[in-house]
Amino acid sequence: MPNHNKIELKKLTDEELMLDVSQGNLDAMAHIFERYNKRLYNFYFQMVRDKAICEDLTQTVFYKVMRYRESYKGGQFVSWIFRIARNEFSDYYQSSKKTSKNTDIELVTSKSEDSLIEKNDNETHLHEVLNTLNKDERELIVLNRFQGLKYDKIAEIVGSSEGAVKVKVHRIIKKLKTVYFKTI
Amino acid sequence: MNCKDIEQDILDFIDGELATDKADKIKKHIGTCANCKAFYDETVALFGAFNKEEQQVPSESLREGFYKLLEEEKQLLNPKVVQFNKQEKAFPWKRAFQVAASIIFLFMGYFLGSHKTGKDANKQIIALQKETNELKEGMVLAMIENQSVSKRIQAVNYTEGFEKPDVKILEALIERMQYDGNMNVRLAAAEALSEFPESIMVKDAFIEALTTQKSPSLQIAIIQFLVKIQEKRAIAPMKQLLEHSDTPDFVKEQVNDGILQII
Ligand SMILES: [Zn+2]
Repeated sequence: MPNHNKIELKKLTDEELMLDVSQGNLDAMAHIFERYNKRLYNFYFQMVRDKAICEDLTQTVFYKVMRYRESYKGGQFVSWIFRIARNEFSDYYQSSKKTSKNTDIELVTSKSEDSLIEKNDNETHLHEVLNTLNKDERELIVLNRFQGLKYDKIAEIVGSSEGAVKVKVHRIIKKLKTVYFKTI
Repeated sequence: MNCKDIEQDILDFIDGELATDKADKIKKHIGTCANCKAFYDETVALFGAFNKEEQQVPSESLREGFYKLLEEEKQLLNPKVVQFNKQEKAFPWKRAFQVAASIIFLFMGYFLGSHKTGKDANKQIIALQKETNELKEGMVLAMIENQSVSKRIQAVNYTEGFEKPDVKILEALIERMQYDGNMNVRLAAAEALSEFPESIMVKDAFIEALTTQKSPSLQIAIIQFLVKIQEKRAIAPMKQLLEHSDTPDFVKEQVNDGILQII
């Protein structure tokens, strides 16, 4: 179904757009970019608060979606693209762990001066609290609380079951509350 | 409804995900149980802090970069489309390649048109072809170290045009596949190298990469190549991949499949 005009493309669901892209209508990719770039960027920003890294990672996700478009076979698009985003983050995380042994490798401590954002005290406190989580815990919280994804979608993204994700999210929120109210 | 149940459902309750009757029961319980009320209040306060997080806006360069990649991808899909409005601010690599390619046609025409004997003309054309290739190879080598990821990928992709690339080119590609900081460049290099299955250097590099590369998509590309060329030496490192706990299941499947095809 290539040759949609622009107005029609706007009405399509994410899944329809992506199937279109996978069949070679690359122009539909622009709509996917417009729908998802901020979302992915903010996902990464909650994981690593560094603008340059986040832009790079976001860019790479769209590159991969485009390059490997034929591997999309239908199914929830949001889960599919976040699965790619998450893999990309794992790759980045592994390589940053390997290459920066002497510097901080904590998720959020990469502080290139100009890419740090000014924050008020309250937010900084939340960030400190989030920093107590490991990568996988943080990812679940970001997907659930910041990206507003339900347990079943998250389960698809991380390759787990809905029940297991729910139990984990509950546990992490409990942990976060303890730290948050102990140190506020 | 006891306190344990409340704890179970409190997130859904706050998110407004529960059916009315269940939500009412929780509301009632919270009204009478100090513990659960505290639990509820703290959760709401924490979520309040989450909600205060501001959405970040990526810079315009993200969009620019994306549309550039999109154009490049469209060109790959349909190379005949000519772009008129593309501004090349940096060194125009694409142009340079086109010029290099056109030189040879010009000279071929000249030699064929002249009255030299076929043999003589042939010799000179071959010499020219060699020169053009060297020119192209030089450009690829210069570009493959470029800071920009998309330039490095472009350089890697240009090597597809080489029928029998110089050792230097193969070395440069192997270095990209093994050590480039960007996963996409490593993958593009692996794809480009798989065009040269006869080269022993390339085979060795893939076998080595199988033990060093940790990214699943790259692992799969490597396995596919080694299976295609029926490389028996790959079996041992492939079996090792099966032992690693951090090898994802879908890579393991590919390995199992591949081993069957090689032996
Ligand atoms: Zn209670």
